[in-house]
Amino acid sequence: MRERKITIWNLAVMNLRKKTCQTIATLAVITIFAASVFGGGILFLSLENGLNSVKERLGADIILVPEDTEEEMKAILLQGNTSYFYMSKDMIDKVQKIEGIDEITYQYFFASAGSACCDMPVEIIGFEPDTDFVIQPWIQEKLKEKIADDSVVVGGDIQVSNGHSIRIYNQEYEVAAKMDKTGTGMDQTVFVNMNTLKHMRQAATKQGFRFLSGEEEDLDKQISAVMIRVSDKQNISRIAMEIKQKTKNVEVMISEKIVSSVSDSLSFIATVVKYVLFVLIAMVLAALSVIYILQMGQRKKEIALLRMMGMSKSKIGRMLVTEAMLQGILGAALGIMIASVFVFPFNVYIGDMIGQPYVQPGSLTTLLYILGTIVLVTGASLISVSFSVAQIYKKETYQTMREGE
Amino acid sequence: MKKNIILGSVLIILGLLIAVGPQTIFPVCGAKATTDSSQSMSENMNMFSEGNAGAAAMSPKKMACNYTAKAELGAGGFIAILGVLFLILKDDKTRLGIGIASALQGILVILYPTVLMGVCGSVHMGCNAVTRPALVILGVITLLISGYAIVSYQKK
Repeated sequence: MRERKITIWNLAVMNLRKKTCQTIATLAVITIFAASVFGGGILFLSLENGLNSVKERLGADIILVPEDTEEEMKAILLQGNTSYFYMSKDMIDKVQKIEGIDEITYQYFFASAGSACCDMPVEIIGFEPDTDFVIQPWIQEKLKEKIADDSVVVGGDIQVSNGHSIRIYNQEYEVAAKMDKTGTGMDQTVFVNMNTLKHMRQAATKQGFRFLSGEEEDLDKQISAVMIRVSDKQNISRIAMEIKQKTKNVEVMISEKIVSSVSDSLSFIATVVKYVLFVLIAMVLAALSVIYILQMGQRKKEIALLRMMGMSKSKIGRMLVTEAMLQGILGAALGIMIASVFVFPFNVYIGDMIGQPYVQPGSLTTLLYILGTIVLVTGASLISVSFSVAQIYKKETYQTMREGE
Repeated sequence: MKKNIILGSVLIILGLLIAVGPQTIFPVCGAKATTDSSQSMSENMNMFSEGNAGAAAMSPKKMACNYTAKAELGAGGFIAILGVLFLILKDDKTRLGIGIASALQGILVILYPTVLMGVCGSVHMGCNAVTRPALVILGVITLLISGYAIVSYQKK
């Protein structure tokens, strides 16, 4: 048999190995705790990232869409639904003279027919490069020059299987850039300039498609949404009101309200996650304390013997603390691994189920969160064992040995 | 003895999950998607209307994930049979061989949805968002269990 030097560390490891059932039971509690803290935390961080992404990328202060299409517009912006609705391009002339408007542009929505095998239809957004202030700032992160005719910029969720082009209505279009994932509808959108959009429609028309927005010549007279940037944010409500008065059959959407609707849902989820975590931490602290105290009750004789063999109270205390620390670290690692198996590979599904913008944190944040979880869980384990350690200092060896006789 | 029963049973459960999962628990676009896609297609047709060539362009094609599901049915079934053999056959060398075979099948379970056959193009489709990660996780677990069996029986 291999001889081992008797150290606090070796004693703690041997104790954990010999008391298999006790170790497994304690580890199970710690693992569930760690998995909940880590999984819940990643979920919350992802939703927070999604909200920030929406705030950053909405771009316009006011959005005009045809009457009764507000929900469809929200679905395009937040969930990447495919939809198309049209109104007269004259709308721009009607509103652009309103005082306080800094920039104004329009977008044209169009959907692919999902002609390639196994692809869902994607939203195609046509924009005017000369006036656009919503899409191009983000495209420029990836593409320095203006988007060329017959090339497209795709969202982070659009898969470019051959690496350089995508097929829409049986025509190949060069992918000029792929944007970073935003957790919003932009991820499932293809962005093109209006010339490319016309070519796409021509290609589709040649194949027999007919469009709600009318024939080819009607394309220049139709738009889907007007995006407005206001020079002074204080005036958003006034300008929105003025637009309502000057226009008919138009829905005036204020971006702040879209963000606040997402923010409200997020704060509800955040409150639930916070309370669940709070209750969980309290329950786990109580459960672990009870487990350690019960274990201590069973180990009275062992501890008394160690004292009689000359081991000081502080060394016994350190041995128990080392045992708890090892269990804490191991349980935290197991819990993080189990939670990771669910939250990372199934992140798209989780995001779709929640129905809110969902962007997973980056690797550095995740790493920090892993370390935080390990510290929290190990800390909880150490706090729980402190009550048991305190008992050792209170009692004398003789008293401990005679207890229960 | 106890270890053999646990290893064999886990292999059977994993094999059944891999075989049946893509049709039931974490389904590919298959049977369910045929209904969904035909519905969305008819919606599209209403919106885009009467385009004959368009109709041809949108005619349903066999999805890649369907082939993956069929391949996994075979791979999973094979792993489940290996699990049964693991329980029945007592010879350690044979069990070592079963471990190696199930490890190789585990690799195939991972490769079918990722490299060999793939799944659908859109990351938000069920087969891409759920079936593929589920199969990869099950494949990795099969590999780990088989690896443990190989190491255990190699020592004997």
